[in-house]
Amino acid sequence: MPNPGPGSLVIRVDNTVKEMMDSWRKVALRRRLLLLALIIGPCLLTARYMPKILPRQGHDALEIGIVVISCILMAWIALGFWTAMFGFFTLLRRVDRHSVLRGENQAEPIPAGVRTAVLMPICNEDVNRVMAGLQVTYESLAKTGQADAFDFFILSDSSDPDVLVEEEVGWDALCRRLNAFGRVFYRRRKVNLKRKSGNVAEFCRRYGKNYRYMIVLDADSIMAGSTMTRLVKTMERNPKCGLLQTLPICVNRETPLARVQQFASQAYGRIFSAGLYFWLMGDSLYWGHNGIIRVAPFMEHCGLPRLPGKPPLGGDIMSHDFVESALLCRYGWEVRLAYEIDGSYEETPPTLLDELKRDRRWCQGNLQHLRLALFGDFRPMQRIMFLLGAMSYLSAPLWLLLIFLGTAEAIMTALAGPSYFPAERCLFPTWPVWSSYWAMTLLTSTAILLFLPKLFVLVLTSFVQRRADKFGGMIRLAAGIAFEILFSTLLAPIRLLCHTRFVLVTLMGRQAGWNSQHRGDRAVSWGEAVRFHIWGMLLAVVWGTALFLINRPFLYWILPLLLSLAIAPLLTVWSSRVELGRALQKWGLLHTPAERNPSWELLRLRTVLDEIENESEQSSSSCFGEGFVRAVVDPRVHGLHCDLLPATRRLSPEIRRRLHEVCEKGLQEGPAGLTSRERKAILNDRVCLTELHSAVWALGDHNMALQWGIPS
Amino acid sequence: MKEEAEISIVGRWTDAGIECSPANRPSGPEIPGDGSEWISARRRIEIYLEALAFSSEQRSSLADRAIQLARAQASNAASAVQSAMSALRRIMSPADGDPLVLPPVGTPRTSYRSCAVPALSRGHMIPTDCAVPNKPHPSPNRSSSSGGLPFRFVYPPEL
Repeated sequence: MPNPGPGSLVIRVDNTVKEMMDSWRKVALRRRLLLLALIIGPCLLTARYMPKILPRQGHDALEIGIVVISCILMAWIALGFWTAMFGFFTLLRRVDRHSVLRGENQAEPIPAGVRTAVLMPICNEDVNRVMAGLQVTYESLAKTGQADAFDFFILSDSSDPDVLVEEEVGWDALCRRLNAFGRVFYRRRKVNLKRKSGNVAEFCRRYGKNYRYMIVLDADSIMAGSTMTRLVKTMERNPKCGLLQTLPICVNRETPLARVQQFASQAYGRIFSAGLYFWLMGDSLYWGHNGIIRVAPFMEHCGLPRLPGKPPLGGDIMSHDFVESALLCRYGWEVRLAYEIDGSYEETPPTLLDELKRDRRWCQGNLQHLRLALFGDFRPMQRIMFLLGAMSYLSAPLWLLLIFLGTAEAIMTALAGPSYFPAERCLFPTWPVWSSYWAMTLLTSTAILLFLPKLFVLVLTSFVQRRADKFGGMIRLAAGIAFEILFSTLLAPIRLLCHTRFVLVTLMGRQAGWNSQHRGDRAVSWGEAVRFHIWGMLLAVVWGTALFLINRPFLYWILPLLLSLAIAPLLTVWSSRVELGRALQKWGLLHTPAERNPSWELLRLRTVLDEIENESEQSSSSCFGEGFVRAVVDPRVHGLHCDLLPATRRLSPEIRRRLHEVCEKGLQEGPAGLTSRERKAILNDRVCLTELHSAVWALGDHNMALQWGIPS
Repeated sequence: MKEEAEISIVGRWTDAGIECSPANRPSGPEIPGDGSEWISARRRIEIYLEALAFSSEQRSSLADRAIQLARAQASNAASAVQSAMSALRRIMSPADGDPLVLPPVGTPRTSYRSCAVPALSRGHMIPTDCAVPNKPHPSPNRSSSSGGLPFRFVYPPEL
């Protein structure tokens, strides 16, 4: 059984020996050593041949810097390449000996007494979409006949007074539609302590002991009932497994950017996940949602500390998921990736700006992990994973630095002119030469490492798995892959520059917020796009102009990068236009299995969302307003909200007097005269809310009553 | 017989509303003032009751009752709307056993009282056989929570 915690040296050694006897650890060690060897190879080749490209053959500080950075980046690219190759060979064999699903019997029921909580932490999300996703998940689970073993929890951290009232109304309507009172619960935290991880921790403190497992979903997640039952049964078969992560596929968005992401997720996702699992095995990662967690060890070991120091590198841990999985592994539990299981879905940010805002937060979270990698008490593999997570963002400034150094080299060489006779005495002149042959070789090798896995995906999907028809046929699949490569290449410099900026501002001490992301399709305006990308555009113009004047041949090498930066607003706006996304679909590009042959859950989601939105519109037209106003005026919503509040609080007379003044203000100035903070204060106090409810309905001034939504 | 005796305390239930018995007919001075105030007050009550999903007959009857009570007990300090809403509150949130509470036409009295009145006194919207439906039951053998009783009264008691 897993190690209960760090203890004496004797216990540590004993546990280490015991752990090494786990067969999978020996296999994982061999695989990781193989991976290391395969990564070191290209690095050594880069170190050997990169100097040949450079004029002074790597003999000065600038060129040494170029070579070192090139080696680091080559290792990074090789890691991705070999991970994909491992995945390819795993899927080629069709059977994974170390799969967590081995020995599965799908027909067996969930053992009696095993209870699972399905959690959906939300914060100021689109209520209709949240409720629709939850309803579809619930209905899908009910179809399995094993819904009795599950309870659903909506864990709200919403701070917007209108949103939190609509959440309550949405929950009530959901329970009535599904007859699910006593199965679907709603809880709102008034204090958002430690964000999402704190939200889940609060659930664990209150109700965790009632459940053996919990499945955590995101606000836009859907999971099929059969998938959920499979996860529970898999956990039951694997008592050492602390966490099982599924591979969620991206669905449901129509913008070109989202369609590319969805295509990539469904075309490449499995091969890369299989490859990742090949060398991670029981040390896999948690991605924060669409996974099942064993509650007891999670409660025991995964209480996240605050990092010492101030944010952004200190304070609350932003990317809690990696740390939670690392903590489970530290105490001997396995974290596995069930990449073979279908029926797990999520939605992707619809626009480039939304994606980059999310990346800003992830960047800060991953850079925080550097401290844990270097100073935390974690296993070596988890430290490496923290470093790799940070590297996914640190690689951006490294790339940019490489290009800057190359530009500096080109400019210096052009301005200073060649030095045929260096300072030290020598008989023969030295000829500085740019070797374009080696440059092309290096470029070609890098392109092969980047793009060959995608060719393997085409081969695997078309000839081995024979599921190219799910992408519209082999030709459409190939066209989709080519389009995805082109699109990603165009956006890569923009992401590179933005990620570099994120790293720099984080290291300079500026914190990223955690606002709820846009979940629905939305178009980016030209003004928004230009404001976001203005500095990148200026950089491209200045950079390009300088090279044009000083070293034109080098300009041609980096012209694609500069062009992407210069037209970034155009790419951002076009990639957010739903009509362009629909045009791509009409032209047969980027078709996905989820679109051509959608599952019951995806079809049902569209229907349920339409029903809920129609219901909302009808109730909006007949009720007294939305959100806060509804809680004050509509007696049904008022009663629901009062009932969901905790017991009446005892407040000091001073606070009670201030609340009364806020109520008076509402009566005199109407709802528009109340600030968001005042609205929340009213909503959090039953006495105050009831007082306002009575007073509003007793208003003799019909104009003021009308402001509150009461018709005359 | 007991039921009839209770009903006869306040009057006879008819489709047109409550017909008060002579002993219970509202008495006291008529409050002078613009009749339109009482019309507005009645309209306000009906809007409120419509939000609570009462049928039009029920709304009319309860509005009549509330206006009668308000007129009987109104004072110069309160406006017609205030008096009427206050009267409605007293009708809808009585103590248990208050004979002022009358069932809608056709509803068996016992089932009405058992489902509605406890909810009234607590001011809760959630049906009574699911007393705290938003707390999960810890034991695996959860009692059934039907959640099926229709909501009627939500007006919370005066605090």
